[in-house]
Amino acid sequence: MISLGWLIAGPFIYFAGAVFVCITAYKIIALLRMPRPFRWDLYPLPQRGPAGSKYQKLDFGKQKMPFYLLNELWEMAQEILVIKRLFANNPRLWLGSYSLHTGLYLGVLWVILLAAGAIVQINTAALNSAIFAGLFFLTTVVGAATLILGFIGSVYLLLRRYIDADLRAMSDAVSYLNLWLMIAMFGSALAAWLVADGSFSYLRNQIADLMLFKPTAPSHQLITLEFFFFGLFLMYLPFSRMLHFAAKYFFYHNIMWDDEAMTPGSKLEQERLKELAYRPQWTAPHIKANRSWLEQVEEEKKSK
Amino acid sequence: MKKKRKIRPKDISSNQPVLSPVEPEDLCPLPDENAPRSFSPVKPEIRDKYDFSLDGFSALGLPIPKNKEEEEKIVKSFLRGLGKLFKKENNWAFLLPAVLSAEYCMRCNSCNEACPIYIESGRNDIYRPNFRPELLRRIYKRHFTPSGRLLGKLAGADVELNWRAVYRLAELAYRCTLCRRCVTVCSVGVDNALLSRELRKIFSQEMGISPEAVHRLGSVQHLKTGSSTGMSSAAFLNAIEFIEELIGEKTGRHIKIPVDKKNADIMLIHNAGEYIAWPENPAAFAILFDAAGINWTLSSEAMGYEGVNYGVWYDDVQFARVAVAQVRAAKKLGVKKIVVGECGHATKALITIADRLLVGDLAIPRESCLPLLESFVTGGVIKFDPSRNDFPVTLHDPCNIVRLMGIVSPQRNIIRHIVQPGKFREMPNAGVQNYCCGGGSGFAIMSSQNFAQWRNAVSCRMKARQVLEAFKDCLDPAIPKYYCAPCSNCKGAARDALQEYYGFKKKYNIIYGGLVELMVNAMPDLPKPYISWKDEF
Repeated sequence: MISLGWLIAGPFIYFAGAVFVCITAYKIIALLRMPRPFRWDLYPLPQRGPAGSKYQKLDFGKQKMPFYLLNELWEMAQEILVIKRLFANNPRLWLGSYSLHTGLYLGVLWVILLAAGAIVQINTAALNSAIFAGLFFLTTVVGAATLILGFIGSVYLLLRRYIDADLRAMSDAVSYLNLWLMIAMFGSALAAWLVADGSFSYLRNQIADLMLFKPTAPSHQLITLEFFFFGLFLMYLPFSRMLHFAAKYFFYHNIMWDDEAMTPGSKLEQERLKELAYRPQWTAPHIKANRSWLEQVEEEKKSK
Repeated sequence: MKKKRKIRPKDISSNQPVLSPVEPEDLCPLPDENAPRSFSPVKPEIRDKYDFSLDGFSALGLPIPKNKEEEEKIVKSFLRGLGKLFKKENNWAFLLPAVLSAEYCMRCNSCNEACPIYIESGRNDIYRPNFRPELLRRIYKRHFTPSGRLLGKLAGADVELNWRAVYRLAELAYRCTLCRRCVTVCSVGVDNALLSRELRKIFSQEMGISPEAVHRLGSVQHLKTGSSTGMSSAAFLNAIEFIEELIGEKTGRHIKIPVDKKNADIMLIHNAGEYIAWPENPAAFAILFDAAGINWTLSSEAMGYEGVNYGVWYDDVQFARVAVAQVRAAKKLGVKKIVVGECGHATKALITIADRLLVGDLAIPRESCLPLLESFVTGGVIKFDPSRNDFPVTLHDPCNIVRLMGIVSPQRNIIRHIVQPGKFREMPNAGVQNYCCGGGSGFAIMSSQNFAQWRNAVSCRMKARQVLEAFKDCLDPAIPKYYCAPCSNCKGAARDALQEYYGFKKKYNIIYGGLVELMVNAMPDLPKPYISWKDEF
């Protein structure tokens, strides 16, 4: 039966998921397709090991530089899991940020656990076995941690943004909107858990229905609200600066740590030749109108 | 101190005569400063003619528009440039970092405390590293995105654009030394310094606005005459003769400096400012290379004897023109590799940044001089006697060489071998977290209007603090002290700020110089010290 609850927990969630996947993929592909930038590294590079830079070596171009994969992974793990730089440089804000990010990471795990539980629920009647009990228990623990940490983190960050005059001065409307949206998402889910769905079994049922493409209206309005804000967050995320979870990869690997030298005949050089043929539209007097980048350089040579 | 009103990004377009004045009493006092030093006032006829409305200083000498048409032209031209910045045809070289940094800043202010200018100014709001990029973001959003056009400030697009905002933004782009220290503390990796440079590109490449010393008297002159100093090929050859005489006087050695030697192993390229301001530096290189038996040469070809590339600070087209011309000069001589002397931005520009520009046979090996100099010390090719450098020494880490290229240990290894044990001391935050000399991104050569006062008092202040801290146990002027800065621009900043403005030579007997001078000073077979404390610096 069509109801507002059904619309939100059914078509709306499908739509939100599709928007999230499509826009995120679109944005990542757009970043992947951008021209490889000029080198703009920042040192030390973790993949260069303890030395941190090939430029410290005489005739570095003739030497095969070792690649320290573990170093790079360790540096990434610290940044992803504990937000190392924020901890070191802005510990007060880190408290909230770490709580929120841990909530979000656990949230991903929680959704996976809920989905796994839903699959089990769909495929077997033996729900009382110890393994399934363990899975459901874990779902409850992870879910509770997700909601508590996510809510506390986003409230803390919002309060800091209101209280700290420096943060307030630099915040735009979107800075507040993002946090309010997360508070609404975590807050509604927290309320639903506390009031209506202590073991997340209703939520698991909803997810099982979604997986079977037979969505149903939630049994409680708070669960409907939870779905609404989750869907809204999913749709909004790829359009927002919160997509930094994906952008961060490019910041680190394609800019700060990108140490690849351009060698003659390489794919990179072929791409560069294409880009050098672009005609820049800049109009300052020292820029030759309607000439390619290559011609900008050649022109100068001829005029000498 | 009276509490100041917080300046927010949207205030940039306000009608205040000066948005956020720098007051001497706001600056963080140095340990030896008893009272704040006032700034010389700007003459009224100059103030009426040029824009000082950002902070009371002017790096660009922007003429105040005379009528509405001129005002509108400024705004339109800026918006045109801003639109072009995010198109790959115009900005393929930096599109990815520009887009990422424009879109993904979380406004957490973590970068603020990493910026020496923000800190030393007494935390002036407009000098936050994220302040000027935030303006760029909000203006872009308002004029180029559907959400900004439709929702305005509700979407975070709350900056009204007028000519004052554009002019202040232009000036603000020159209140950052592009040291990129702020990037090292950002968890996301947002590069607010890069966005300062992107802003400079809009002003230069679209509006023709740039500091005269950097553009007209810098890269334009460089491409026209062969050197940003205006030094012709003939003048360069004269300078080499002078340096050969200098070597003879200082060391008793008669060294013929190789020029235009074909097929040499190394073409050495210096910042040509060295030949004019600090000839003892290229002279020291010649002494060391001669002693090490290196097969090397200098080039007298236009562009071949000048290592600087000011384009790296403000303009991609000028950068590309200079880099390609420099490599062509080396190709002409058929050398095996280019070694860049003690100049930070020249090293980074030619070795790292130009790496993704030099296609085909232009991709010849290019290296910093520091690993080569280290090999002289560690390989035992030249004998050094550390006891000849028996005075306190501290080392400056030029941002371009250290933080932005990772060359940290060669210079320290050299110093360990050439300075009396116990005499070398690191300054606070040494290595990749070091602070800029204050002259980075062109500031060292920019002195139009009253900008030099700002540079010396604000952007060089942190370096002065670090140097005082490094030598705090031996400030007695009876003890000579050496501030080693292996970079021409950093030496320029040391000369103008540390020596002239802060008076470190007079007060504390701190002199500055390069690394090679210190190396030659430690050569035991020279009849007298190479560093003569009385005459130099």
